[in-house]
Amino acid sequence: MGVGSAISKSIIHIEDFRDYCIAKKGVTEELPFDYDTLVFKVGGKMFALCSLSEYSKGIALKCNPARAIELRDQYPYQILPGYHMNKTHWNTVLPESGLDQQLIYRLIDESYSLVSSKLTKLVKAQIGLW
Amino acid sequence: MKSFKLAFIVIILLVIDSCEQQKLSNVNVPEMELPHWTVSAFEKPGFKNKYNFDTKINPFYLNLDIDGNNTIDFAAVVVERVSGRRGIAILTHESDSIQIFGAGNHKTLGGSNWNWLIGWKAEERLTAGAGTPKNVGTALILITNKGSANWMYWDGKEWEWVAQ
Repeated sequence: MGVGSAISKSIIHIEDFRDYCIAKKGVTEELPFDYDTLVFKVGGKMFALCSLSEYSKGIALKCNPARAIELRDQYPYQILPGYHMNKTHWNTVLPESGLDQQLIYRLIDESYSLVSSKLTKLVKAQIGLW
Repeated sequence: MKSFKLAFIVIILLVIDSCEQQKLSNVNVPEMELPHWTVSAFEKPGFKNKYNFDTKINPFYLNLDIDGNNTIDFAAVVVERVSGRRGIAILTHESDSIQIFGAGNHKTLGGSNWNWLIGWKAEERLTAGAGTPKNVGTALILITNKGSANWMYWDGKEWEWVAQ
């Protein structure tokens, strides 16, 4: 395996990101703000966002505040305070920065779990999570 | 004699620097991060005594040509100190007067409390929509805690507000 393929494996392209998010139960994708910001929601609540034109600048994922700080300390060049968002609750993860893709997928999972866990029982039932 | 003069100048410079630092530490906003041209307006008691910048939203301020006259204007997320209500402050380059939306002001677009605001961005091109007036400057896209957005923009005469 050459260096090039090793690098490409560490990158999550926008198609991979979309496929991973949309495959989760009860997830919808929308452009609710403008023509450029792709938003993934579970039960109507946002858990992942990215710019279609500037995907490499980061995907926004929701995160527990303490965990968010811990991650930013651990990966200061790859995980940043949520840009355009409330940085207490959101991280910006750079998907093409060489960050281990398994970690990125895990952070998407965590964001999804965090948001879906706070849905009402009714909404959970409606989307098949209950 | 020369070294005495030099020492005197150094002391004077240190005293001046110390006074500047003192001045900055007495205010509640991170002036060092603000564009220089905005500081005098935000130093005025009408703002300074009533509002704080809300740095939870990242970035907490945006440079944008909000009125479309090719000069850079300024918008920042603020909170009213007494109530903790969130809103935004807008300062155009031609004016020394800050406009507050939300943050305890009842007669503003978006209501008096913008605690629904969880994110924002500047956008020059808004998605075309039937009956949507054209923004003359850069619009603000205000992201809500409901996962929707409000567009706020200047249409050349007045502020417009479109809920998405």
